[in-house]
Amino acid sequence: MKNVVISGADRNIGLELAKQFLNRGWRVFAGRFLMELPLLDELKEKYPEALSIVPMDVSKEESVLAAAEQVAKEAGRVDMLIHNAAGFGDHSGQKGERTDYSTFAVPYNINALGAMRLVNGFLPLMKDSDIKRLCFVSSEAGVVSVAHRTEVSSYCMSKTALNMALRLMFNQLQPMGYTFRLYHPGWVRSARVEKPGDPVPTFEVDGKLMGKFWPWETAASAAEQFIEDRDWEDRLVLIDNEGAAWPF
Amino acid sequence: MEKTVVIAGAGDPAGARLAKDFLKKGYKVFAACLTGQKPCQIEGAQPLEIDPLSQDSADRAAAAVREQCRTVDMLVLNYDCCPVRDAKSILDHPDYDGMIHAYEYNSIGPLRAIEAFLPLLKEGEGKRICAVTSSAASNNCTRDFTDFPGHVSKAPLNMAMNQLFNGLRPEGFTFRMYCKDPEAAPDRAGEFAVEYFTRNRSNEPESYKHSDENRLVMRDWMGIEIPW
Repeated sequence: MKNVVISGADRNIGLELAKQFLNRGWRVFAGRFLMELPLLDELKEKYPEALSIVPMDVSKEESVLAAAEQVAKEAGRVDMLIHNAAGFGDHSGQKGERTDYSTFAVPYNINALGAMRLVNGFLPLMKDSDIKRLCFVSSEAGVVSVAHRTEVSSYCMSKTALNMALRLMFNQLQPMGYTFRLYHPGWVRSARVEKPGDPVPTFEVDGKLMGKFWPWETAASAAEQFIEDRDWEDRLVLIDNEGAAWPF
Repeated sequence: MEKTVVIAGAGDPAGARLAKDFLKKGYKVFAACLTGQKPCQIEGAQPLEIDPLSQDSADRAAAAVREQCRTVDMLVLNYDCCPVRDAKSILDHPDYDGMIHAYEYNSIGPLRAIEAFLPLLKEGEGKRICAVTSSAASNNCTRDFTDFPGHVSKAPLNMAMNQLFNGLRPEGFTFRMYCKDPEAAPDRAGEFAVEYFTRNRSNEPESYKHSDENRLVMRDWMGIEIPW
C-alpha cells in the first residue's frame, strides 16, 4: 500500500484530494488544522482503515514534527507528500488606500515556510520509498513574470516565496531521486466552513458564484498529475488543472 | 531645478556608494541608515534613520523630509539583512524565525518605505522608484540550494514591485531593479547603480511596446537583464 500525507485536508481541495487517493486505494494521512470541522470525521467513517487524521498546523514546527512522528509510528514510510495548506491573508492594498503591512508575514509563514517545515519534517520518512514524490499546490498568483494585479498582495508574495523555496529544494533533492509536482489549481470555488453549525457550505460570495472550477474537479486533475510518472522529471514546472504550463 | 533623492538603506557600503554618486550628480540627498547600521555620515547628505520593521518609523522619516522639501523625485531602496549567505539546505534545520525576520526586513521593509514616501513622490517630477536587490531572488536563474533566508525573503519583493509597477506606471511612475555584484568589494557593490537609476530609458509614445519603460525589468551591474 502506498502512503500519502496531505496538509490542509479539512475541506475544499485538500479534502477532495484525500478522497481521490482513498478511491485509488492509497493509505491517506490527512493533516487536520480545523479541529472542529467534522468533514474528515465523516470521511473516516467510510474509510476507517485507510484514512488517518493527523493534527497538523504547518505554521508551527513542533506541530509538523509531531505529525511526522505519528505517521512514522503508524506507517513508517511516506511515498508522497502534498503541501496543500494555504493562508490567504486578509489584506491586499486597495486602490487609493494605504496598505497595512503588519500581517503580511502570516500567509508567508503558512504557504512558503509551511512547505519547508513539511519537507524538512517528513523527508526522513521518504528515503526508503521508491516513489519519493513531493507535491505542492501553488498558484499563478505567485508567478512574477505574468503578474497582472495592480495592488500589492500578501497572498501573491507568499506564493512567489513558495515557488522560490521549491526551486532551492528541487536543485538539491531532484538529483537525489526525489520528484516534484508544482500545481496551479485554477480559479477554484471554495466554501468557507470552519466549524459544526456553520451553514451548509455555500460556494457563493455575496450571492455570486465565484471561481471557475469545483474543488473536486481540480482535485481529480491534481491527483492524476501527482501520481503519473513523467520521463522529464529533471524540470520544475508549474502546471495548472487544465495541463497548461506557467512560467515563474 | 535641484532633484531630490531619498536613499533608504544608506548605511551599508553599497548604500553609502549610492549616496556619494548621487551627490556627485548634484542631487539633494537624504541618506537614511537602517536601524542597526552605523549612522550615515556622508558629507553633504541629510541623515535620517528608518526601522525596516516599522511603518511608523518610515512615516516619521517621510515627515522629516517633508519639513525640508515639498517633493521627492526618486526613492532608492537598499535593504539587505542577508549579506552573508546561509549555508543550510532543506536537509538541515531551517531557522524559520530568522526567515520571517528576513522577509519583514528585505521585502516588507522597502514596501513600508514606498508607502511612506509615495505622497512626496507623487508630487515630485521624477516619480521613480529604484530597488537594489540580488539575482539570487530570480527563480528563473538560480541554481542554488542553500541560503533559504536570502532567496526566499527577496523573491517576493519582485512580485510586489511588479504589482506596484502595474498600478503606478499609468500615473507616470518609472521603476528600476538593480542586482548588485555579490563578488564586488564593499565599496564597489553599488557601482553603476546610480548611472542605471538616473538615466532615462527609451520612452517613445507611439505604442505600448515601443518603450523600455513600459515593462519592469531587473538588471545586474553589467546592465544584463535577469529573468524573474
